[in-house]
Amino acid sequence: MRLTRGWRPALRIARREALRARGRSILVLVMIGLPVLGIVALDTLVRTVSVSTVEGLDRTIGGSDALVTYDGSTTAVDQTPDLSSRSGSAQDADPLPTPTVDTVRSVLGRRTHLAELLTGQLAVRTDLGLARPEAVGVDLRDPAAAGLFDLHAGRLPRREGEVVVSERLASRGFPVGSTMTLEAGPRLAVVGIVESTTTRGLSQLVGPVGPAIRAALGDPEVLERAWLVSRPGGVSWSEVRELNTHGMYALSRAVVADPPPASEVTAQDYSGSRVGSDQLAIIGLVVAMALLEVVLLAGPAFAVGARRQQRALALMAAGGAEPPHLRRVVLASGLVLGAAATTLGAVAGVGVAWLARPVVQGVSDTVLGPFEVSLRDTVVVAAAGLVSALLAALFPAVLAARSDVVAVLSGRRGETRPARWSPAIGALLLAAGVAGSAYGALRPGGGEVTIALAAILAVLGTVLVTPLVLGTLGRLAGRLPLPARFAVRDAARHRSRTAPAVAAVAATVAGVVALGIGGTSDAAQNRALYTPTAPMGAGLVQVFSQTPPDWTAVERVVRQQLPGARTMPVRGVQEGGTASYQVDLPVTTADDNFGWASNLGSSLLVGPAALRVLGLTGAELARARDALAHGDVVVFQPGEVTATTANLTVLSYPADGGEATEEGRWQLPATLVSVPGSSQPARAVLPASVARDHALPVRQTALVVTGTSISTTAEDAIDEAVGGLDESASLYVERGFQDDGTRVVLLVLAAIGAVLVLGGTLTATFLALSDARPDFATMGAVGAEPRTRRLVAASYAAVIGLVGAALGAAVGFVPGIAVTYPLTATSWAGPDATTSKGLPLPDHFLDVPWLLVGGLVLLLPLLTAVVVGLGSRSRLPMVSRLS
Amino acid sequence: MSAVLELRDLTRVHGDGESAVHALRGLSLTVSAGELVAVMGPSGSGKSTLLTLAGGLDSPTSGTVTIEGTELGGLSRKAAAALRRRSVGYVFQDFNLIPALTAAENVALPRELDGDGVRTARALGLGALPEVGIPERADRFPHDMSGGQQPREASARAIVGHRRLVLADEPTGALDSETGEQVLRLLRARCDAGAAGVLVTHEARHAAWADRVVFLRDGLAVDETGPLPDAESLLHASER
Repeated sequence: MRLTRGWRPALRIARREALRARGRSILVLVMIGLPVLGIVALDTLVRTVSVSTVEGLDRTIGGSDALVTYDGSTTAVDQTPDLSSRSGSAQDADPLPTPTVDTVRSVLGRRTHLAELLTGQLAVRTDLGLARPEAVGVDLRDPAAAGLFDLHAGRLPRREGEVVVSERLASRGFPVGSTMTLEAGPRLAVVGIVESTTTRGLSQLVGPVGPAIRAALGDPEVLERAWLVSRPGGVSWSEVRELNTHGMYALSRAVVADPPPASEVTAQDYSGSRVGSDQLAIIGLVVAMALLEVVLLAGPAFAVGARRQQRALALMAAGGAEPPHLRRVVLASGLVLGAAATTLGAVAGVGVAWLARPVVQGVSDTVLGPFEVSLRDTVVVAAAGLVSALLAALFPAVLAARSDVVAVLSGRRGETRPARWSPAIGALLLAAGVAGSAYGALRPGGGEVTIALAAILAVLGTVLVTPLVLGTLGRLAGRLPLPARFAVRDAARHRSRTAPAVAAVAATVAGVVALGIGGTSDAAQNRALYTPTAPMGAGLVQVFSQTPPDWTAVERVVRQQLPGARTMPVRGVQEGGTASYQVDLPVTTADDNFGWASNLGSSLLVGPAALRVLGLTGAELARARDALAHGDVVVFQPGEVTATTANLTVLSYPADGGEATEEGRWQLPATLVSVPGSSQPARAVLPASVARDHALPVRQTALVVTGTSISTTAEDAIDEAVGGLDESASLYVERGFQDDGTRVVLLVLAAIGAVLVLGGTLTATFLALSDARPDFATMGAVGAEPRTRRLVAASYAAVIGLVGAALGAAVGFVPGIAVTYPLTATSWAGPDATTSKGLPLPDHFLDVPWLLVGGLVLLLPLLTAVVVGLGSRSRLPMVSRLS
Repeated sequence: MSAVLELRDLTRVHGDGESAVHALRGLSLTVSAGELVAVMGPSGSGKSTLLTLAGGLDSPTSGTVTIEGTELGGLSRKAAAALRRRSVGYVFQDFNLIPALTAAENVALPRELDGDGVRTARALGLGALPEVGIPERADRFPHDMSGGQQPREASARAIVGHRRLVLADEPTGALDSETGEQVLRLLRARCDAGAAGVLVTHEARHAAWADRVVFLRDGLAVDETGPLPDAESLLHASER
């Protein structure tokens, strides 16, 4: 009660003051409310987009009681109750038999209803060749499957031979009423259009599991075999565990609703978004910076408010109020405005998230979950907003309690001298920031977190040093023209109002400059190390699935879109599966880095055609061609080694995951060639004769398209068409290093920087202008022209913007340069690595985004000054002071 | 003697309808070069309104204000500002010194606003400060100056650059008698040197420095006298 009693008058004054000074109150509401709004909206949207096991249960197991799945495990398995994590166990006994319906019924009882659910890929004939949509074998009329798919048009399949397809597959020439032919021959009638309730935009067909689908899927094509289980009483945790012993997993409605105690769960849960200490540190730093930014931006408004209340506070002091009472009055305005801002921000954030759902769904393939507002998160964010408001009011409150009562009552507008210790501590923090950055830069093994922490220290140091800088500038302003001199001196006199704004600009610019330098340096490294995937301008159709696509159909698609193009198949040894093929040099080599291998579908390419796309030029290309012609294996130079032979080894891995056995090992004549850059394009190129002689499984692995320029429109069309033939197929066009990501990052940084710099500058400028009203009245009385006010306004904006930006840039350069050391270190590349142009690699890359820095430090403050000058009222308040 | 300030049938109404306040109701007044006119009257009689209209800080509802032959009603805001810089000096009750400017800069402010360079304006400011007896305070800011020095600085600003009209709104209101007398002596000297002056005051002993006194009541000049007895005798009279 005593606590409330002490605060009651302060809160009353604060509430009335907030209503009286509406403009300033709205400013604070925006400063504090907007970040709260943004974070609450984002949090709500993220929670709505992510679908938890419970939320997604009907989508996953339909109307059944449990989904029992088998993914080919030959051992007992383990799982968490919600199946968020699953694991197999080591082979210690005979492999388990493949479970069947009877295995499931042996655990769950004879009378259990099981609806089979097969998922796999099958090949469908299209106008262009073959398409490989995902096939789901399930009887959608079974109540157990209700909720897996939404019917959009037509009807559900009633018998075998009827299927429904997704919108995407329908758009490839399979509307309702059409017939599709499977590669194996059977024909299926399309009777409806459905959409998965989990993921949108998939190419899918769904039909009852009959001989046609079962045969078409075939065992190797079945990715997962499952049953939707319905039985009275559901499936218990002990039954789930028993199914696990047969190599099956189960997601049970009853278990999810009533999970077993942790003591009964043996599987490790890896699914949670467990945050590492590094990530926690980064999150902490981001939150601290955001809080600091809000405090600094809102600070000037509280400082001005406190000075407006100076006389009232002095009268209170004269009437017996003690410094804590006076502090409370200013702090209470933080409390009142902070509470209002966070409440409004939180409510508006939830509203914005609600309104944004359709937009988010439009760009997300995952079907959104139910609208979910986390009360806990919202309260935490609102509390952070309230704390920032209180912190913003704290410094003005302390100053207000220290002001000279007699001076205030006698009408003198005195400003309390800043404490001597603050610049000293600021300088210490700055020094610690610089030292921390240097330590982080030179520390082996990545010091990004250290540098980020050092950056925060440096920014805090800047905040404390800013008043000193402003004071010094005020003393040096004697030679400036009147408007600029007035602005600089006034800014220096009213440090409690100006310093937070300048510091807010400085903190923003420091962050943007540091991140900008990090981003562009990273991009510079990427550019220097960029290894093209194909010759410049050429296209490359890549496939990442084990099943080869219909290459003839792919070629047809390419020729349709690019009539003048030349196509060249790339052939290579088929990798993956149970066999492994290796080519090694009989010498110890440095670590191999393969750049193009994965893009060409194999690390062992076959035949001279492959040489054209591997980046070999001039003499090296001629040597490689000669070598292949003479039956030599072409091996890409892994460091400074010499060799004239290479070993070809064939290993065989048993299907159950046991030890590999060596099937054969041959020593072959070899020629070493090298390409510029830090990685080799492939392990080796084999002559066709070698592949043939050693019975290596050679197939087409990629298709190179040359001879014409490929527009982005043609690229999109071909990409779409080959994607229809094989989900994993895509077209890549080599256009050199594309730096769109960095450009976007820089643009976002520039936008954030511009908004915050503008916000800080405009706030402080207009507060200063309103504060300087009596001085403008005096100037008007002694003959100042109307434009004087505009010139002073522009000068204010220029002072705050330029000083803040210059301080921020100076501070931002330190962590910015420091972070390039761990970020762009090239120690991994080996001593002989070069850039893609063949130049020696530097130990790190440094590229300063001068346009961004110049724009923020010079252009933006000057532009703001011009805008403020043009936008501010020119009329001087003539009689306000006199009356 | 030529008229420097001419006010003709000045009316100033603040607000309208039932809430309208008639600050001045057809007031006429002429102040000639070398003449100091004191304006007295109770609170709300229109003294300060008279001064703001005379200085061109406000516009009359009707009537005319003419300074050295130039009628203010016909001037743009810019031209009126120029007139204030060059011809009119103002001494405010609470001095209205700009805290961000030094004493010399405050004094030279009208000249600097009129386009004089920083050095020229400063030189003028430095030249005016000895006239008010504070030459050593040129580089001090207002908050570093004593209560007696601030009014002198404000007076210096009103006279810098040979103003022909000096308007003073209770310039001695918050001062001790010695400092108040210094300010009035300066004003008198300026008028004796050829300027016209209007002094708004509540106190008869200050009005005694004027050549004539105009009494206002409810926005009208209700009486006018010649010079009052000198300040000294008035002070003694009040003591008796």
